Amino acid sequence: MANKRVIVDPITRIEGHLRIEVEVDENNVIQNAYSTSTLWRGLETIVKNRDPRDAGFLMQRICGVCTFSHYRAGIEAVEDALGIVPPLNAKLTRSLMNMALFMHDHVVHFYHLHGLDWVDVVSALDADPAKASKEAFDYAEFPIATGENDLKKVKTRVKEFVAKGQLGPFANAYWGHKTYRLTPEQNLILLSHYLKALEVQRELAKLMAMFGGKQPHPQSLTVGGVTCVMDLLDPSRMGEYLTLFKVGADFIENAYQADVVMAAKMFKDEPSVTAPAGVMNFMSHKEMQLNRTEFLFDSGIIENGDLAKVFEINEDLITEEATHSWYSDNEALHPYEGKTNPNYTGFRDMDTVGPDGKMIHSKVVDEKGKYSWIKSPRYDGKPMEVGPLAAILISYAKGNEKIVPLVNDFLAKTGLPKAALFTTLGRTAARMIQSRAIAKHGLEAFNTLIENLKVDQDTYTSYKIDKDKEYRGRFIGDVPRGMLSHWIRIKNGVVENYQAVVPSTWNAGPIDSLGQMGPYEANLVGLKVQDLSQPLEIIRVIHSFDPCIACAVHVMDKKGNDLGTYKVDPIYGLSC
Amino acid sequence: MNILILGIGNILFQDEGIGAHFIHYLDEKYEFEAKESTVSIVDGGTLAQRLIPEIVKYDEVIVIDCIDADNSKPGDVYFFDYHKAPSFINWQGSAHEVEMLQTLNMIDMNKDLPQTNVLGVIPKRVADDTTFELSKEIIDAVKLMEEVIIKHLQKLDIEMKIKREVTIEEIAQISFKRDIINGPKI
Repeated sequence: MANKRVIVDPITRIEGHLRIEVEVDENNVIQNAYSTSTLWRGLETIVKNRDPRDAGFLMQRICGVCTFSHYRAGIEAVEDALGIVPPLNAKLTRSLMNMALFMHDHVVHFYHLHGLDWVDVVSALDADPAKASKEAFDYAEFPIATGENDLKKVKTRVKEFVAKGQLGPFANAYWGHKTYRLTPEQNLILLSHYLKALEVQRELAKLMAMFGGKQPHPQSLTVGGVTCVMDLLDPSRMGEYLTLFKVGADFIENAYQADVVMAAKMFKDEPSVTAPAGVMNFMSHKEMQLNRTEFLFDSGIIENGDLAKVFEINEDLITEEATHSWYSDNEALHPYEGKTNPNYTGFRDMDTVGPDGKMIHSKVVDEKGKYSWIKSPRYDGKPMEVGPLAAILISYAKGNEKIVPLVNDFLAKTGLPKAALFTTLGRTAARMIQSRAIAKHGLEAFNTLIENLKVDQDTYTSYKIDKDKEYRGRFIGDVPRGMLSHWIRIKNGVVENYQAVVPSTWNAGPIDSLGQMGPYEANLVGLKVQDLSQPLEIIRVIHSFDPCIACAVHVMDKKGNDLGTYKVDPIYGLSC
Repeated sequence: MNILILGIGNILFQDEGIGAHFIHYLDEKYEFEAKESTVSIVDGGTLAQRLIPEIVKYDEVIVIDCIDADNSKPGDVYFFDYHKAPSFINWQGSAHEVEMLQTLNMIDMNKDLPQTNVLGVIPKRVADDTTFELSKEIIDAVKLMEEVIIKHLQKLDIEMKIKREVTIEEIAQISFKRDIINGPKI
């Protein structure tokens, strides 16, 4: 029997348009997978010929989730090009803003974007709150929002929600799917944390905004340093950072950490999340400056899953190619020479498995030709996985004394072997471990900043842009979804060329000229899907990468509704 | 009463940035005179969940964004109460996007969503270029969007007085770095 194709589109619970197509054999085992972004991202073209000092402001508009990351990258790439070293106060302030971003992003990802891949909400409604409340103590010393009364309230609230028909985020999921492994009580604990996380993320959003100068769309980062001097010298402001940080840290320890351990124990025999990763090369860049010299996470490369050796990154070996991407220049180019000229070739016709399991006529990607707006980044010609898993593995392999105990703690609590880290489950756990590392050690940057401010209040390094000179520089760092780099060339005082190599490009890119798959595709091949009309396994794998195809088409989707009555008539004015 | 006018949209995607451009336009063109209320204008970009702490501070919120609706054409303008609008939101299997509607939904789950009205406009999809140009349809829609806001704020006892004539096209070129005059008051 011929392979059948299944389309999952869009697959992201967050910004951007990602589409996954897979081909399954008669046993529903995935034989081929195609990851495609269906959205043109021409960010590189809009900054051309503009003042390089504007690059950060434009870059932050790339996406609503990664806004700070691209802002910082846009600023720091220019600093690198101009040879500016910002003062320590500025670096630490950026580090504190970055920590807030990671804490916010990872919590939101686990609970609101990835959580329902692990939690069966309908099952939670059958739970015994007393029993669940007791069980919560197995995973946390001071459990959060899991008292018997709390859990009763959660059940009532969600039931009300369901009864009103306003399912919101709980609508249309694959409730009752066979690969859900948590008990009703465990599902209820997680559901309670889902709601609690809605509150906690607000506090973390404030934490992020603290030194932003302006909210939303921070403006306090500037080429040369930061402008939030008054905030840094205001004790109440600093105190507020501390308080909100601790709210986040407590939730990470007593809810997020506990829940991931609980889920890992229950899912450790579920093959769809414990199969070995498809691409065993990992790359991450040092990040989270804690003091004058030290960073929380390390740089490096692991090849073929070998934790015994970590290679240093040679930036010259980074290239992007477009053999299977909708651009006209196929060849592998270093980002300084990168080209972004679109060449859209469209989709082709085929019959695929529809939502009800029956075959329907569809448009599918042309996998032999071009099939994505994402390019294929490679390091020394090889695909790499980037993200929290890479960051944790590299720091672990390097013997980072802040990371090793946290990894060992997770393995000990769950009884999992090291090999389990190289899986979908491991990827989801690594994000928790990374959050925990920040929660535990992040305030070292805060304390260093306070100490330094007593003797040095510099926040800015002045500079000049010489119009007759040519410059080039880059930012490389790790952001919540993995290694991000921005590469800029400046000529005549304006941006000559700009390229952003974003984490989701490394992970979601299409096959390269040698036929090598990127991590998304490679992780799907070999995966068995229980029910083609409910491809939860695919979603779980892809969501473990925290897909964010940097750039959103923001349209409120009210399709299928009778909005006609609310239409404003140009002649008679408001009809409602 | 504290009123928030929140513009949503990705300004890198032409028409889809209209919500953000439009609030900059209002901010540049008008003065807001109120006896007892305040008007705060915020460019929300595509920040979704990160706007929650801001949104919940207000008594009344007007969200300006692009929308999709059946039987519509680019430039059509809609205005509706978030709660009175049909509650069904298309969450596409379990793979959906967290954006503005979902954000409002999440606030609603926490039971502290202010009175929220949505001013929506149908964008024209201009796919394959990245500029700050807008389509004619959306430029033409601005007048009607403006009227809706003026009338709605009048009901809330706020007068909008023109202080400077500008065009949405001019504003669209500078929205990404423009300072908002009527920024958050609370």
